[in-house]
Formats: sequence, structure tokens, C-alpha cells
Amino acid sequence: MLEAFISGFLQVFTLSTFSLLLLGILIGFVVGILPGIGGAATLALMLPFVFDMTPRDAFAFLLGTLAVTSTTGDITSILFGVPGESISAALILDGHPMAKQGEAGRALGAALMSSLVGAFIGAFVLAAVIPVVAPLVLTFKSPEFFALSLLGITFVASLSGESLLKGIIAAGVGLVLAMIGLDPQSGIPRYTFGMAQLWDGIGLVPVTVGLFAIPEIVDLWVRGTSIADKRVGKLGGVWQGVKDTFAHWGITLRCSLIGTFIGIIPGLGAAVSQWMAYAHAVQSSSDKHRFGAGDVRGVLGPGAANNSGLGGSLVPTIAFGIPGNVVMALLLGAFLIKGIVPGPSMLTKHLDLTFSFVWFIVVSNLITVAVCFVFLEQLAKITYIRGSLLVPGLILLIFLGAYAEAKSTFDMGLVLIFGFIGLLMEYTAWPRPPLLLGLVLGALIERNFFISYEIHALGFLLRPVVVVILLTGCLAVFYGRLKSRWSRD
Amino acid sequence: MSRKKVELLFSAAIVLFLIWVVWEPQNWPAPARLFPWSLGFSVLALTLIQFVVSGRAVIREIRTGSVAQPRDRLASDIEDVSDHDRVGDRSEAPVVPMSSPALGHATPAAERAGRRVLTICIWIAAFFLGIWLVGFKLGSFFLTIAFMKVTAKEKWPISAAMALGTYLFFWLVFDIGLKLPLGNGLLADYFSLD
Repeated sequence: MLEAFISGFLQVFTLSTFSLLLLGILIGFVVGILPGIGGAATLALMLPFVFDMTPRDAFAFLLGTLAVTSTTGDITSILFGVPGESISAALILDGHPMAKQGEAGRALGAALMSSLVGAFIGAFVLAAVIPVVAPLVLTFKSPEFFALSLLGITFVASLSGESLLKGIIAAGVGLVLAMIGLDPQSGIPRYTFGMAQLWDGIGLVPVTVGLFAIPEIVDLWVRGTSIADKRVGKLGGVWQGVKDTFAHWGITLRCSLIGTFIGIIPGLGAAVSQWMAYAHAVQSSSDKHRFGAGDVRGVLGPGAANNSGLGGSLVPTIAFGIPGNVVMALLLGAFLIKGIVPGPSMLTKHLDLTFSFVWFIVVSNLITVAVCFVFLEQLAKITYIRGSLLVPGLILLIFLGAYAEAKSTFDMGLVLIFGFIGLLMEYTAWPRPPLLLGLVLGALIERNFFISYEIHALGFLLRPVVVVILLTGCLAVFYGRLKSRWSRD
Repeated sequence: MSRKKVELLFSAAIVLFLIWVVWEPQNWPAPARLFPWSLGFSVLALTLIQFVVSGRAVIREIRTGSVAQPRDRLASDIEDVSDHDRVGDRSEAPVVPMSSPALGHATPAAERAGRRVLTICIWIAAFFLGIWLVGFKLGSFFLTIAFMKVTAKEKWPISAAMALGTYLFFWLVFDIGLKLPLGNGLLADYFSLD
């Protein structure tokens, strides 16, 4: 096995493989920075190019593209408050306020370093667990997925800020919005106003962009300044962010593991894990008051989680041919194009290829972060450009983000609607993250509840893993509440 | 209108939305309405509580006539920013953050900020319409130049450079680089233009 591990590493540095890895990184870099064009769309566009490549070159190209999109997506979220990827939205909560306070460099440094740590952990977990992952993945069926999704909802308590009631209502509204579209059981259209565009439900990107980016643009224009209000000298530096990553190593490590674990479980993914990681960072901190106003721990958590997910989500794809999300389904297409059957053969015949996946992720993240660090101080200076020059570009970016995913003008209209709602929510101090969490988890909760109920009736609630997950959720909610009460006393 | 009143109206809007959410499934088959009803009624109950809480806050505000000391808060908001080395600001701009409580009160700075909110909202809607009608490339060119000249009051060279830059960005990245043209808008489709 060690031999295959080393062989996988050496394969990365053959001329053709490394060149294609670099090309993939370049494409992923651009795509990650542009809002809306996510990893899935890019992978779909790049698939036709891999027909003539060897399997190793093809996966170097595709994984190089994928591995960096979430890293560079974080940059857009922090600098402009516009999520570069839907899996980078949680970075806005603390990353953008840091940029406004002149600490863009620090936030970017923290995001990149935590992303790198997350990617390393995700990749090495992939290497370590593939031989032993079967029992874990096979343990998880609909009841367990339902319980995990409910566990996700309990994080609303940490995402609600001052008012828990408003947070719960916002999450409830998010769950309601997730019901828009065709009913998974009977197939009748629900809450669609007779519009076919709503049959597939509301996309995550237009909602995220509307809720978060439009209020930021309005705020930038109203303040009449640059994004950063002040200059903060060395404190705003990139290296401070790097040091923060290791100063808060517990959060970075735990959030990386959260991202990896959620990635392994099919059907969830980084869109969920980033919020869980953020909520965990809030929950596990004794002083919560700075979260949402520019706390570097709020950057480290989601930064680590959204990058570690790739390694995790490759586990079921490689080991069983079970794609956990759309991106992995497309990658599975690449397996089929190259005539490779995922499953046991990946642990025997193609073991060196499997391990080369680990190294593709590690090397592409290393290169990306190194390149970013060279330009980071310059990137951070964007926050000092006066707002009037940035506003038109930002407006175009948000509409591009909404349009590019499905090439739908309808989604651009949704941005306007959710932008208005986001403005009202910000003005009236209603928390926005719970709404997004509800929207992400809504479909999962409903689908898995129905399947579980059909098979086990309510008995599914007594399955051992379900009980453990639900108890963990209860513990997380009550422990958080009790801890803050004890610290007040 | 004070922030508390807006909050009350927002809560009322959510209540109405949720009433529609639980009203709509009446004629759906039982499995399809189970989840919307169980979720909708519970969230509606919680929202009604929030509505009452917001309503009581408004009544308290009216009774006491306390408008949360608007002058003091506005002054502190402005001081917060002006105390620091602010960059890129323009002297006539009202430095009132969106989250500032001062925005909800009828002071000159707040009124100016309110006008700026309205202006930018109109521009966001205009960008949407422009892109919808003539596509990203042309829409971004004309709207950027219009925004820079009319509202941002920038000089011609900067405005033209920005507009051209956005056009080139869309053309180079999407048409040439990614081979993923973003469409030419409704008018081009209507008149069958490429």
C-alpha cells in the first residue's frame, strides 16, 4: 500500500499530468472567483476534453479544477460579500465585515490557510479510510440521513444571533421555500404559481446571492466609502491570518473533520457543512459577541470545512460508485468515460490511481494557496478602491452568478426578490443564515422522512445511529445554552 | 418609519405568507400536504408570537414617544467612521451603515441615506432590465457608463474605461475563453439577431 501511495505521488509530477493539473488549477481559479459558475458547471464543460487523455491526466485536470474552486470562491465572499460559490457563502458572515474593517488581508490569509489545512485533512482522510469505509457508508440509510439533517437544523441556535425565535422562524421559512417545486411523492406542483421555472424548486445560488450580496452593495453605496472603512496596518496583514489558523487550531481541525465527514455522507456536502462548521465555531467559543461582526474564527471554520469536503465526497464515489452530489456524479461520468469502474478495483487494480487523487488535491491546493499568497496583499487593496467604481461591477457579478448556473433570467429575477428580502432582514435584524440552512436541508429532511416512514413507520426513530445523532443534536443545543448561562453567572 | 414599525410590517408579511402556505395545500393529496401543514402551522404559530412581540415593541415606542434617541445614535454612527482613517470616501456622502439604527429616523443624514438606498435599488433593477433586454455584454456596457456618469459622477475617461472593461470581460471570458456565450437578451431573440 505504501508503494502505491508513493507511486501515486510520483505520478503527479510526470510532465503531461502536471501540465494538465496546472491548466485545471488555472480554470478552477477563474471559475471559483466568478460567482455562480460552480464546480458542477465547470466539470460539465470540461468533461468532453478528457476523452483523449489517459485516466491519470484526465483526473489531474478535473480534480485540479475542482480542488481550487472553493478556495478561490472564498476570496470573492470575503472581499465583496458576494459568494464566489454557494459553498463559500458562510465566509461572508465574518470575512466581509473583516474586509470592511480593513482586515481583508488577515481574513484572506486565514481563509486560504484554513482551506489548505482542510484540503490536506480531507485528502488524507480519503487515503486512510477508503479501505475501511464500507461499514460507515452502508450504515447510513434514510433514517440516519433524516437524523443528520435534523442535527443540521439544530445549528440554527448558533446561527440566530440575538434572537433565537427569529432564527427558528427564518429556518422554518427556509424549509417552506425548499418545498417549492414538484412534490417528491405525488408529483403535483407545490407553491409554483403555475410557473414551470419553479418546478425544480428555488436554486441555492440566487437565494444566497440575493440575501447576502445585494444588502452589501446597498450598504457600500449608502456608506459612500470604499469596502474597507479604515486602514489597520499590520493587523490587517496576511500573515496574521496564517497565524490565526494555527492559534485556533482546534476550530480549524474540528471544522475540517466536520467537512470531511459531511462530505463522505452522500446527499449532504459543503453547502451544508460550511454552516455546520460556522455554527460549531460559534458554539464552541466562550466569547460569541464578535461573531458576525468580523471574528476570524468565523472565517476559519467554514474555510476549512468547504475545502475538506472534496476528499470526503470522493470516498463513496471511489469506493462504491455512489456519487454524493452533482459534482461527484459528473466525476463518475469521467470514470465511465475512461472505462474505470469505481468499487473494489479502485482498492486493488487501480490503487495507485486512487492515491494519486489524494496527491492531486494536495498539490493543487498547495499551488493555489502559494499563488494566492503572492498576490494577496494586492487583492486586499481592492477593498480600498472607492465604492462608486466597484458598484457596477458588483451588480454585474451578482446577476452573472444567478444567471450562469442555469442560464435563466428567471433566477436573476429571484435575486431581486431575495435581495429585497435580504435588505429587510438586515434592516430589521432578522438572521439570514438560518433561512439558507433551512433551504439547503429542507428537501433532504422531507425526502428522507417519507422514505423512512414508508419503510419503518415511526420505528425508524429508535434505530441506534438515529438515537445517537438526535441525542447529539439535543446535547449540542442544551450544552450551548447552559454553557453561555454558566459563563454569565 | 421607525425600524420597529418596519419590523412589525415584516413580521406581518411573513404571517400572511405562511397563511398562504397552509391554505394552498387544502386540495392536495394527503401525502403531499402532510409536510407543508406540519411545518407551516408550527412556523405560523411561532411567527404570530414574533408578530405580537414586535407589535408590543411598537406600542411601547408610541406610548413613550422614545424614538431611541436618534440624534445621539446617528452622531455616534458618524463618529465611529470619521474617527478612523477612512479611505475612498466622498465628502458629500452620508456615512451611515445599513445596520445603523439612525437610518430609521427622520434626520437629514438619514433622509440622504434613504435616498441613496432608493437610488441604488433603482440601479440594481435597471441592470436587471438591461441585461434581460440586451444581454450581458451590451447591457453591462451601456449601464456601466450610464451609472458612472449619471449617478457616480465620474469623469468620461474612467466611465468609458470601466464600461469597455466590463464588455471585454464578458466577451473574453465567456465567448472566447469558456465558449459559453451568455445570450444576447430578449430583444435580440425577438428580432432574431445574433
